[in-house]
Amino acid sequence: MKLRETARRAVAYALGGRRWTATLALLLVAEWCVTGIRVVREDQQAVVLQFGAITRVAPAGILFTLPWPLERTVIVRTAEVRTMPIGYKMVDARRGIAPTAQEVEWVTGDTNIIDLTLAIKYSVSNPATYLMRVGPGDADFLVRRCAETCVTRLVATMPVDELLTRGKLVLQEETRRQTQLQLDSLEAGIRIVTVNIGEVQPPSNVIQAFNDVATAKMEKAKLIDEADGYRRDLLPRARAQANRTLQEAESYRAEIVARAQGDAAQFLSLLAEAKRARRITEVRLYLEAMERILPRARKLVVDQRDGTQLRLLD
Amino acid sequence: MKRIWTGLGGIVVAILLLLSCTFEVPETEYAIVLNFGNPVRILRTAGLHWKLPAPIETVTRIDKRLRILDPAEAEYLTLDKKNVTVDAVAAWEVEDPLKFLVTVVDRRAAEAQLEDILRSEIGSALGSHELAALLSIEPGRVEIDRIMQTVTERAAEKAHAGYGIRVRAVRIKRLNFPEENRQAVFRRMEAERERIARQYRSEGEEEAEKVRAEADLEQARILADAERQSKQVRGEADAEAARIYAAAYQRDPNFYEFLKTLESYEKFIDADATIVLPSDSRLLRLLREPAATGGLEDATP
Repeated sequence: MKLRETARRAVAYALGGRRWTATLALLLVAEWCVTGIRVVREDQQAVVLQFGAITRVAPAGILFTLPWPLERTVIVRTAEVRTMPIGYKMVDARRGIAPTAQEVEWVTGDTNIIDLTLAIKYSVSNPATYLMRVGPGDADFLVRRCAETCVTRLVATMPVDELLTRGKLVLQEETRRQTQLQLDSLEAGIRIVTVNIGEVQPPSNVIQAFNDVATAKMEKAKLIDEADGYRRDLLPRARAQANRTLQEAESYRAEIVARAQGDAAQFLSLLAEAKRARRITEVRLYLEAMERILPRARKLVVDQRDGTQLRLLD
Repeated sequence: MKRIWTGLGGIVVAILLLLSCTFEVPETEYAIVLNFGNPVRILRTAGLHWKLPAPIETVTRIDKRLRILDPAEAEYLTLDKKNVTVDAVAAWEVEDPLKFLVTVVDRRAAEAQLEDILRSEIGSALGSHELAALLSIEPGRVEIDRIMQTVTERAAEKAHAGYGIRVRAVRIKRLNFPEENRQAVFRRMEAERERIARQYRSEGEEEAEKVRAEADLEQARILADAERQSKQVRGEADAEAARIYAAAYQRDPNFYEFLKTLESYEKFIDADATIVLPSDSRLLRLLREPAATGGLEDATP
């Protein structure tokens, strides 16, 4: 109740009598001062201009400046990373329209033509120089043109086969580095965040020939593989055969040596026996041999006394 | 009451006068102050500046930011008579605002002039270099940077002298061949790929044949080696056996001869053999003289 009464009185006081003009003027002045207060978001930086001249760059947070028209601020989104396509148009890519030859083709060092697309991500690194040097909407254009000149120059020194294989990474890194150098030399206040190579491939009308090379490469590997298979089959067999030959030789050695030792032992034991009774042994052996030999042969007995009569014994 | 109105009127007039006597120059522009149309001052620094009020002095502004000129691609002839289409870009900015204002007035006209300069400079630069200076895989052979640096310097000189423009950089954005040459490039690329494919295929055959031949050779070597070792083993075995026999028989050569002879008889006397036995041989002596008990010294069949 009391609060309401106070408010009513205040309004009556403000509107009442001759003081209303003064109150209005005061309010206007207060409102005017408030125009100098701004909030700069986390992803932004504010450039403060005094009658058009840049006086300072303020980071995120609450910013107090002199009221308009003494000072003005321009907000730049420095954390924003923008993407610029090279070799195709964003709009076409979204709609699935293929880029034109003029957009996508590059000439390599060995005068081949190659299709290449890149995406460049960049952000504003120095809002003051950026505002001073680059017109609104020109940043994309500037980044794209700088990057394109770098890619053209790099591709012009690289052979097509390298570009299609390990050269991609070199190209990516060098494009980033050189584009940054160019932008710096133009004092653009722009930083290249990344360069990503999209596609690198031969133009569609010769891609068949390139694919055939890949096929031929695989065929080569297959042929060599088959030959290797042949070798892997052949050599173990040969080694097995060699092993058998050697084993046979070894068993021959074992056999023949054993036989020799056996024969020798037999001879020596016979000899030992013979030494004790030489004559008897010899006679026995002789007669035993004759017993084995004579039954199978024909025999003629010649009487020594007349010398002419031959009689067949059996 | 009348005093208040007079005061208010005075303030309004003062503000109007102040507005017409000051002007802002932003960071992105040069300002030229004209006195009845005659340029009298050039303001290069941003901020608030003074001038005489409106009809006496007026201000013209010229954008000083970086501009990128991207003219349409054009066909050029290199020193070795090769056609190339070059799409160049140039970065430029106004350096001498007064000269710029007097000679070309605005950006569009300036860029038209600049395009002409670029075309002639690029044409003469490329005309004095071979294609290999633009496209080559030989290290150090490509001179794009040097060529474009020359173009930049010459264009900068002309643009500066003529229009107060500072050319920061001229670069080649795209390099390609005119349509008919482009088709020739495609044909050559195709032929080159075919050659490489053929090479891979025959290399494959070569390599495979080599592997096979090596395998065959290896097989022959393994078998021959085994054969050699086998012969060696057999030879050694024979030698060892002979040594064993000799060592044993050496003990009594006569007894060996006796035994071996008997063995030989057993071997070579078969059913076809006819043995002549004298009736008085020791073997048969007992047939005639049962009581004989002599030796068998000459016991031969």
